[in-house]
Amino acid sequence: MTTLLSVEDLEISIGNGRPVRGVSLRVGPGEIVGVVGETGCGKTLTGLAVLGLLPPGAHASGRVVLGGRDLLGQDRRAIRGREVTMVFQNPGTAFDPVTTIGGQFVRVLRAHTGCTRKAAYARAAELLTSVELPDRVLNAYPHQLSGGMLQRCMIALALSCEPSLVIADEATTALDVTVARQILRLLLQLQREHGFGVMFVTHNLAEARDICDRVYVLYAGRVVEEGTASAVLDGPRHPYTRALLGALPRLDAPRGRLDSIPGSVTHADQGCSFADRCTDVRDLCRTELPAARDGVACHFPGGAA
Amino acid sequence: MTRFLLRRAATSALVLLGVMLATFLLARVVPASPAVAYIGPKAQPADIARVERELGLDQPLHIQFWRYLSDMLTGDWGDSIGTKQPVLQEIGTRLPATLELLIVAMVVAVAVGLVLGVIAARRKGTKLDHLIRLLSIGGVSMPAFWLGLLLQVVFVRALGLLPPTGRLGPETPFVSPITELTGLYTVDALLTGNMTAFGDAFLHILLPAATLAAYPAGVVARMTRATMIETLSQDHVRTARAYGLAERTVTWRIALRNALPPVTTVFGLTLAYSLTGTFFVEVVFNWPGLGQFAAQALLNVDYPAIMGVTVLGAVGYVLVNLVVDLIQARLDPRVGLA
Amino acid sequence: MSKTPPIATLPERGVYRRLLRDGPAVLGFALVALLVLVAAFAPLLAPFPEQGAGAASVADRNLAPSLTHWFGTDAMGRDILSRIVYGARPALLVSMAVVGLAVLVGVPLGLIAGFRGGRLDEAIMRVADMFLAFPPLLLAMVVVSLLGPSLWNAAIALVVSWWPWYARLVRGLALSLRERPFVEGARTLGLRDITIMRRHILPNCSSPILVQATTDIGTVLLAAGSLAFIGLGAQPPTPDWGLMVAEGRTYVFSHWWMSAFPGAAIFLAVLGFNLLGDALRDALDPREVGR
Repeated sequence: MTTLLSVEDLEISIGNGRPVRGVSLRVGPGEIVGVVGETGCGKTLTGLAVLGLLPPGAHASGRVVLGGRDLLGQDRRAIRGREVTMVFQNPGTAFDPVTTIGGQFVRVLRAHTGCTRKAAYARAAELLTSVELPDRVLNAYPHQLSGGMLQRCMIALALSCEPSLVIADEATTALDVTVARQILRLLLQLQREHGFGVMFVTHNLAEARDICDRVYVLYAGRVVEEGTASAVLDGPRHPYTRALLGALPRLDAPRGRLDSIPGSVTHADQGCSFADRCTDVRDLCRTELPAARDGVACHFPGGAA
Repeated sequence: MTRFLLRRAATSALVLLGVMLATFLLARVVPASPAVAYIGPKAQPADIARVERELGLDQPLHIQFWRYLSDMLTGDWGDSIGTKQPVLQEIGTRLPATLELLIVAMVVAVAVGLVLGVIAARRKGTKLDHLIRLLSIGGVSMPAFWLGLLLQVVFVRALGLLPPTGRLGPETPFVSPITELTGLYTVDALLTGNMTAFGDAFLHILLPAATLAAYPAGVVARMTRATMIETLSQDHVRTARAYGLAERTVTWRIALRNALPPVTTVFGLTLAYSLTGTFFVEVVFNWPGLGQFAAQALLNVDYPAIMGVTVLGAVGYVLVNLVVDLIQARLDPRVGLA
Repeated sequence: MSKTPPIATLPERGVYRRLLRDGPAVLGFALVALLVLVAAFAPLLAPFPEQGAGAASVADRNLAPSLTHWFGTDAMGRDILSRIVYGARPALLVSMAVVGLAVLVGVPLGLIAGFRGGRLDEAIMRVADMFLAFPPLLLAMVVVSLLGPSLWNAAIALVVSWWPWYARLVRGLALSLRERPFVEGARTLGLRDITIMRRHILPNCSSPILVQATTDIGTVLLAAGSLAFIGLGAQPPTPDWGLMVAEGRTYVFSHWWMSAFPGAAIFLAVLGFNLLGDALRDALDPREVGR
């Protein structure tokens, strides 16, 4: 199987903190790969690190290989918006508030293709049609559009230069459930048409199960479980994945009880980071960091015997 | 838009009426009678009574105010006690000089302030940033009259680089006279291709414009820096970077463009401040404009001139505010003209 | 009834530490402290105290800066350093008095307008607007001109044109504080308006007022100096810095020191208050720390 993007042993430090501690993942061409985990697990930073968009003061090490080239430490401007694009979490603030949508498309298109303003406008209109938006959106300012419409614009912008990889960072989180569904369906449909790879960053396991081919579960800056979406999310082996799935509200479950994971994310200096919150914790978990075997980083995968 | 302008015109008229009432009352409430100012300190009671009658000062206040208002509206702003000329005519001949000074100074202030502010924001926390911060707060703290004198001492006296005060050198009106079109000498000289006169006028306006620009440049630089730092951390700037736009485009075309509305507001305030700033700069540079005229009128308690200048100042202030609001609405599509 | 803590609860030690770490803040504090000390101990600090107070010394006219006269002497032979040292007194006195009075008039009016609202608010703010409709300083200049130029008339004129700014500032703050839960609570308990304003609204306005007032002392000092410079402020023989710049102006090409040093005194004093005001704003409102 060929590889489009491979992230190897990525570590990110900001000041004294180390929010990402050795993440490795792979996205094949045309593959939709989910990166799931709760807030603060390092999934968004991992996505930003691919494009070199980490906040000032953050330092990344490891390897980020795209099409055979290691990008880390390189100037990635030529790749951004062209080979790799990003759909952001908050469509309401992701667009320049004082420029029309059309103007923003033209800016990006001309930066990459050097085409005329007129050609850029024509291409922008075409792109908007592909996300089922009317041409007049080109003349609108962001504040005149709804969140769903803006996210469609963002997807159109992301596809403007035929990228090979789209990083969707919590692309549906800020939207209504029904709108989120429409956006997902649109993304999936466009992915089938164009065949780009998707790194789908989310905390929504249901969405990940619905659209991803494979998923990586991140906890405290490390991959704790990986595998095909159905294998991981229907038969979780890591206690964290199990707990996450257990915390999903279910319509078919008996009423009155909602599971949650006790405590919050802590970065252990020694042993497994999840040990403090794990229901099956043993002595070994507190002293030794579990290595990944068979796609699970747990000393006792599959739960207590 | 039309509705906005109409409403603004109405409120502006009210504001001006208020200003005129205030000035009128001030002028009438103060101890000394205006008649004394006309005749001089040796006025005899009989003369005072006669002049008061001539000026209508023996009438009830509201009648006086009504007369004052209708006179002002019909273009009779009275005669200056100092120059014996009609105030309106004095204002007309001096306005272009002040406008030229103001325009040049404000263009310089905005250009310098924006560039310094953007650089400081980009280099936040570096030595350069600290230097720019100190420069801008220095500009804000600088007494204009003192800065003007220092610049004269350095550039005119010590270095001999620039001509002394005034708008033109003594020979220029004879050697290459300027054909007045707008009254702005630099513009007129350029339009008529009179390069000698343009050079002279340009060299003469440098120092007064720099002096007048110091304060607004400092304010604009400070505000630009603060807003740019905020804008550069916004989501949409990250989007621009994520889509491969050059850092230059991100800074100057996107972030600065977004920072302009608040900077415009603050600039409007300082522009109003600079209206009175011209008084001091014109006095120091012997610039034959309104500011100098106003300063003289205030010193001599030249009532008609003071009231004329005050009303004109208020009109200028109202206009500045109006223009700022219009620019604001143009710069930020989220701002409606309400 | 316990007092509501101000919303922006100040971690006092944090404020001081932040102030101290900031170079410009330290400079600002030092300049203001210097100004206060010089004003307080003028007779002890001035090399020629009686000249500082105005006595002429015909034999020493127009002397360039030297070891005896660090900043030179003026056209009447007075030691300029001594004049500047004495000049700190009217400068500081006038600017503090003007800001103090403007606060005293503007703050209560703004409080009442913002807290009570309604017609009273309308009335107060329309009057304030009328004052604010003049370009800055123009009203003050007109008032001085009509009252007759003197240091104290200049001060009165500046108060007249300054108080509306405080009324507007405080009204805005009071308007937003009025809706806060702790004020609602105090009302529900049946506290009188005056008590609520004094105990709950005013303490929460104090930081912005303090910041504004600090900067304004500098601005007023500059304004008073400017008025004196064009002859609409202090009159001879007051040792006023702006007046000294004006007096030296005639000789500026031959005797630059006569204007240069007094002007520098104004500049440094204003700079000090501006830096201090900036530092206070940064320290009292951590969100706005500009670095």
